[in-house]
Formats: sequence, C-alpha cells, structure tokens
Amino acid sequence: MREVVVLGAGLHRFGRFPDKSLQDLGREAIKNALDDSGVPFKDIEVAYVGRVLAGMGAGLSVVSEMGQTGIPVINIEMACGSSTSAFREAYLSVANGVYDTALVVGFEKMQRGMLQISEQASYQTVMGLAVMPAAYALQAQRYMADHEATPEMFAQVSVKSHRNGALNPYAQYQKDVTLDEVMASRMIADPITLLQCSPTTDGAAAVVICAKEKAAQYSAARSMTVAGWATGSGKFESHDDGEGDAETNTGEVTRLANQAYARAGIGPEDVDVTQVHDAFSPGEVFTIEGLGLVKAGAGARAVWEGRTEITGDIPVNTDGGLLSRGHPIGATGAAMVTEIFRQLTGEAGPRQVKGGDAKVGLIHNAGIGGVNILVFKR
Amino acid sequence: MFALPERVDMPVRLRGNRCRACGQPFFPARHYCAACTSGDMEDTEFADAGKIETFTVVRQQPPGGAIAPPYAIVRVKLDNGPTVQTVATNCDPEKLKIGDRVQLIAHRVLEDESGATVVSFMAQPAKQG
Repeated sequence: MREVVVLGAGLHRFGRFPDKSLQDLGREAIKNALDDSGVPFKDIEVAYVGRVLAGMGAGLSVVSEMGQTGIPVINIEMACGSSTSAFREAYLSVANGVYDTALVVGFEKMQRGMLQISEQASYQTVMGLAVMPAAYALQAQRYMADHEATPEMFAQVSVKSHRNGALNPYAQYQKDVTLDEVMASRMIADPITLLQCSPTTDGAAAVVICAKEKAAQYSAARSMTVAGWATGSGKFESHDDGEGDAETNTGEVTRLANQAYARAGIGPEDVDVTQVHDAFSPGEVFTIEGLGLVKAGAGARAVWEGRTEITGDIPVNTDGGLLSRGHPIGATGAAMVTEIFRQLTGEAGPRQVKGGDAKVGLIHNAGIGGVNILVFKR
Repeated sequence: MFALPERVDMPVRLRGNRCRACGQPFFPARHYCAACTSGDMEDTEFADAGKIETFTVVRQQPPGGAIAPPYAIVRVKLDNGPTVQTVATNCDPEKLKIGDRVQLIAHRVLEDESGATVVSFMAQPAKQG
C-alpha cells in the first residue's frame, strides 16, 4: 500500500446554531480544510462523509455545495464513530491507489436532551434501561469497587477537558469549570453528573488526504502520515450481557489498539498525544487503560495526578474532547483528526504539547457498533 | 421472555437459550451463538436469582422510559446463567451494593392505552438466609 498523508483539516465551530443549515456548517469546514491543505476542490477525487441523524443523501447535498464535479460521495454511518470510519475508508482507497486525493467530512445537527439510542420500542427503552450515561456509570461503579478510585477522579476528567476547551476557539464550551462545580452539578446516573456528560452539538469537520507521492504539487508545507489503523465491531466476551457494549468495553479497545500499534510499528510508550472518546467522563479513564497508556486500574489516578493534562506525560483530549469541544456525533471523529494534525504540525498554539515536538498521535473514536483506532506520525 | 406467574411480584425464570457447541448462555435467545457462531442452540430457563455485578441510580428520565426516576439499573449475573440488566424494585436504590444477592420477579411497568397492565422482569433484594 502507498503512504498517505493528511495535508489539511478544518472545522466549523462546534456549538448550537439553530439558524444555520447542514450545508452552512459543512461548507465552512470543507473550505477551511481545503485552504489549509492547498488542494483545490476540483482536484478532490472522492468524498467520504460521516453523518448519523440527517436524512437520505445528506452527504452529497453538503459536499456538492463546493461544486458539482461528479465525484463519488459516500455516506457512512457508525453512530458516534462515523467520521473516523469515513477517514479509514478514504485512507484505504488512496493507499490502495484507487484515488490520489480524498476529502473526509463529518457533520451533525442535534436536538437538546438525552440521545435516544433506538427508535424501536424495546423493553429496554420502556423500562428506562437504554440510557447512554448508565452504560458508562455501571462500569464506573464497578471500577470504583475494584480499584482505589473516587467520583472526584472521574469528575477531574471534565475539569481538565474544560480547561483545554477554554483554549480552543472552535470548542462549544470555552470556559473553565472547577471540581466543586462538576461535583455539584445535577446527578444523572451515579457517579456521573451533568458536567460529566458530553453535550448535544451542531458542527462540522473536514480533512484532506493525499497520496504522499502526489503531495508535493500542493502548497501545504507540512503534513502528517497515516501510520496505523484498526477497526472492529465489538467482539463477544463471555461477561457480555449479550447487548454488545463495544463503546465501553476496554478489552475490545486493547485488541484493536494492538492491531493499530503493530501496523504503525510502535507501542503505546511512543505516543505523544491522544484523542479518546469521552462521551462521559469515565470514558477517558477506561480508554487510556485499554490503549495501554497506563496500567489496568491506574487510569483514574493518572487523571487525578494531572498526567493527561496538556503539560502531562500522556496528554489526552487537548482540544477539550467530547465534553468541552462538543460532540456533534457524525463530526466528532474528523475533529479528532483535526486536533492531532494541529498537534503534530506544531500549530496547536496555547494547546501545544511537548514544546511542539510531538511525533506520534493516537485516536480512539467509538460508536454504537464499533471502535476505530488511528495512529499518525509527523 | 418468561412464563407469566399467577400474580405480579412472584419469582420468574427467564427463558433464553444456550449454545450446545460452546455452552454460552444467552438472554434474550439468539439464533446463532455470538461467541462461536454455531446455530445449534438449546432453549432453556435460567435461575431466578443471582448477584449484582454493578449498578447505577438513574436520576433523569430517558426518552421513551416509563419508570419515574430515581431508579436503579442493576447488572445481575444469574446463577449458572447469563448476565442480564434490569431495574431494581421493592428496595431503596441508595442502599444497593455490588455483590448483593437479588431475586428476579414479575413487576408492573405501566398500564397501556387499553388499561392492561404491562409487566416485565425486575430484581429485588433476596430474602436473608
């Protein structure tokens, strides 16, 4: 397979934009990514679009805003992991020589309130069992019983993420919160309080990728290489309740991370900066363990001791993560790629890790239906 | 899901199946084994009691939910059976602990538009001794 590079990335700010259409959001993100990459839209050969709640053909209706060049526009849905799935498919098509340039887009417009997982009226829905925060809460309660962890340690994830979001002009929330404020916010499902739940969000993100051998013709003077990837749909483990909880299953994260590390020729100790799927604050704790960045059972204390801060040795969610940057479900994965691009190119400004010398970036993006891992090198 | 008992709040045994090839139990029943993909499945009834693996107390009503919060969701490992998730009832949700023994019973969830009582399985603390 050919080497593939990311040449540019861009966002429409995440937040609530009731007066803007999907086209408005997507057009701005795509323009920002194209400008960042130096690749004109007429040179884009294929677009892969991650989106969940928008109707039929939404991908084309957004991408064609930039021009009707007749390229294939492929809609991809994997819930909250949709646009890392789109990224992977775009990467594989370029790596395999089908196309030289590809555009990855993610967008979403969401209602306020708790996400309804399924429109089918199942006994789980009627009995109030299909509750997204509860999936994380059940695992967090067990984690606290098995390890020396407290609710404050999970709450600290939100404090850290909001501190990073305050440094990100594209974040939905750009305001610090204190540990007391997080702990005192309304309890949703013990031990998860409101400020430990990712918000619903409108937003869009886009990324331009190119075969490395074709990249020199474009003006972008910097790039990052796609070094590894893995994807899976929740391998059955005998402790499962049969409902396939891939999103919070750390065994599944480890299985896939090891595949991605092997493809990239690295280990977890080589990772300089990480994006994880913190839909609810315990997600960061479980995932840094699953990825092997810390030992099993050591995640909560690592967060508490500041190791996942921008200034820490394993910085996580430097852009504010899902909790503070926001979580427009179809756009989240492409926004994760955007932040890793800023970090590995030394363009992250006040959020920059390791004095601009970050060489390896890691992404974990999960959705109902699976987990995507991506590894990038400068 | 289970055989309806004579009245609500009586013990119920969940009906599921078990893979003849690898022994994995499932509730609800599956046509093919999630663990080994075999289609050789045997219907079975599981024990009506088990142990709380973990739980949480839900304090905001989810979309489509019929039970008023606060209520506890418990993940229960049935004796010699699968792990199932349900609502805890006939107890103070604040007093549940991981490792507590629970009994599965039939319990009222709601009354539908025609006035019929809709029941499902729920977990209540097991009687001492």
